[in-house]
Amino acid sequence: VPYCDIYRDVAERRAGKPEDEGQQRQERFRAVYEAVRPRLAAYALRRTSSPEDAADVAAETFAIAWRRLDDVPEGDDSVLWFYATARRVLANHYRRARRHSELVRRIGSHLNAALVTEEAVDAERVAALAALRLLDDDDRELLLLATWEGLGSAELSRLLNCSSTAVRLRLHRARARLAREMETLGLAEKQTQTSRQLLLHAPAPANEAEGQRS
Amino acid sequence: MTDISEHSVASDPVSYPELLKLCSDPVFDELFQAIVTGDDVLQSLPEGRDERPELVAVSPARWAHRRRLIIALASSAAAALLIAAVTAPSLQTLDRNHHAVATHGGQPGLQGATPAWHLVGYISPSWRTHPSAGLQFGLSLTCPDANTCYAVDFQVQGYQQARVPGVEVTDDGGGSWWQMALPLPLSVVSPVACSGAETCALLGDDSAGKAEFLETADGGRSWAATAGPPGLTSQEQLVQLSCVSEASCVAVAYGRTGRAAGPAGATIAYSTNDSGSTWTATNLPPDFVPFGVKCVGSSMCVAVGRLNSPAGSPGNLPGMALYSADGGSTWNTASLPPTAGPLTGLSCANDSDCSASSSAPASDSKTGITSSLLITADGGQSWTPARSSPRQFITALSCPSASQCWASGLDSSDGPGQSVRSEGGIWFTSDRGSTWQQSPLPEGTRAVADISCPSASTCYAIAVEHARGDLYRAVLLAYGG
Repeated sequence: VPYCDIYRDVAERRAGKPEDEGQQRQERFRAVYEAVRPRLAAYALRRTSSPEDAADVAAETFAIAWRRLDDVPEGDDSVLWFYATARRVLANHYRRARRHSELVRRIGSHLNAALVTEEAVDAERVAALAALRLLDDDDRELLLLATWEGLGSAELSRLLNCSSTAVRLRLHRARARLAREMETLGLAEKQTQTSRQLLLHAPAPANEAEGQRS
Repeated sequence: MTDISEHSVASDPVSYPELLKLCSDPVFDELFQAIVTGDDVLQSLPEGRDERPELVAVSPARWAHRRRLIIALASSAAAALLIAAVTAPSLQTLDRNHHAVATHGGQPGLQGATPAWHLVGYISPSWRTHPSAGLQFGLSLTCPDANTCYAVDFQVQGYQQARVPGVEVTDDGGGSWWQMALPLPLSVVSPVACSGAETCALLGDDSAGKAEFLETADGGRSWAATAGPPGLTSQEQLVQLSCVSEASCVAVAYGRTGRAAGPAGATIAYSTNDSGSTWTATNLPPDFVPFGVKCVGSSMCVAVGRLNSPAGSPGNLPGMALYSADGGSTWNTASLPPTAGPLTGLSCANDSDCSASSSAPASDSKTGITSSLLITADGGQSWTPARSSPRQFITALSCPSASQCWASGLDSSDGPGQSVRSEGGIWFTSDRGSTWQQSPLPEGTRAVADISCPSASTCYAIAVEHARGDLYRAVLLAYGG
């Protein structure tokens, strides 16, 4: 059948193609992996109870990115994709008892050095974080994304699929709820550095964030 | 996005500058290699929705709202489906006798005005299953008039997977088929070439590997066999045949060694004017690999195919076309667009207007191969590209008039050595390829292997219907009639 012949010929023509494509795919993943690695590791470290768990979450998130590389956006938005994916991985992470692989344990022990030492942890900070934990997941995540991940309103609006105005409104409400929780804990008067940051830190305006990207 | 390395947050449990240094450790290269090589060092999430990032954070309260909304939508959809099932015309399926003639209304064309094709039925119970194959067995269809069609397929038999050709005929538009009793067993046959509803011929390969020319003048009820062109060993050659009358036929053949990666094989045109009693051989350019030949009237013939690639350059796949103005005795090289790829699907509406499909690897590797339509209005001397083409690999083309063409398209990710996985489609143009409309295939049928349009108002197509696993069966589709 003629078209079968064409298929064969094209297959011959493309004999080396899969390897090329595989190489290109690997190179793209390498670029994303290098660019996102510290941010994703930090994201995971901030939300897990042990460096090994953080390493596990980061490794799983990267493994998903490799499988779904076509879904990973280009440019700065790739970080948002990783944050969103890591959040899903985290949600599953605590549902399953698991043993970390040897590689993940080694990565975890490495990441341990990036955690702030206990000497640097003051009681006020611990108390402020306790108030943060009293918030619901959405409020807490929003505050952390804005504060620790440093996302501007433009990034937050893309990540949460809402307008920048809505982001600011939600942040305002989250901070108000945090203030109430701190008041409940008797921290309102102290205004620790941590609480000040959580309460006052505003995400960068959209235009400012865009300017920094360029 | 703020620069985290400069974003001092005392509350942050992570020292980001420290983390940046740590992330350059070779252990992360190990992780990279483990991921890309698929090493089982990670406990991966199962494939599924949990992997997909949900960018929108949804609170429990909103989840409850969404759940209620989803339930309401699902209930509405179920009710709508129930109403549709009760009120819509029932879709009839093929009966258990494998000769079902029940037809159902095809789906409306995607563009509204595009006529719908409908499923006529199985072509024959004797070769309705095709283990491990879809199109690779070479289904072909020839319909000389609105009621008569000849179909060729191969059934795989025996431990050695021998391919036994079957030739079926219908004279009631596909309502019933019978397998033609050929005068001798053949292992390879060409598509049936007809000069009329009752007068058709084919070239086959007998058990000794010699070519046999079979001709019928009574619609396939009886066949006369004569020796085929001397020297033509069909076992080794791909044969295309075209007949303009009971007496006059032209065949083109080439050595299988003429494949792209191999040395050039001989390419020969054979013509007869006495019903196969004698054959005249004409050498065609040795680098020409013919994929189709059509003769119309007493003198005009066109052959299309590709130019054999130079040794060491198997990817070079330029198209090639020849034309003859003396009934196939002498041939000249036609003028083609420089970008023309291998030409297939040759169809001639008259002795001036012909069309063919030019296929080439798509620039987008995901789509594999795409085709474009080439047309000629001077008996094959010069070919020009049509304004547009279906964005699929055209497996067959039939043009009942100079302006109208039906093309069957196939998702080119399905190779011939694999089962047909994706839905194909049928495309129609009424303005010489300027615009195309797609007709969906009837439900359950997949890629179309061949199309034959005896007139502008009646077309038939042979397609495969997925049974289960790798089993397929040939079905007849029809439009109009």
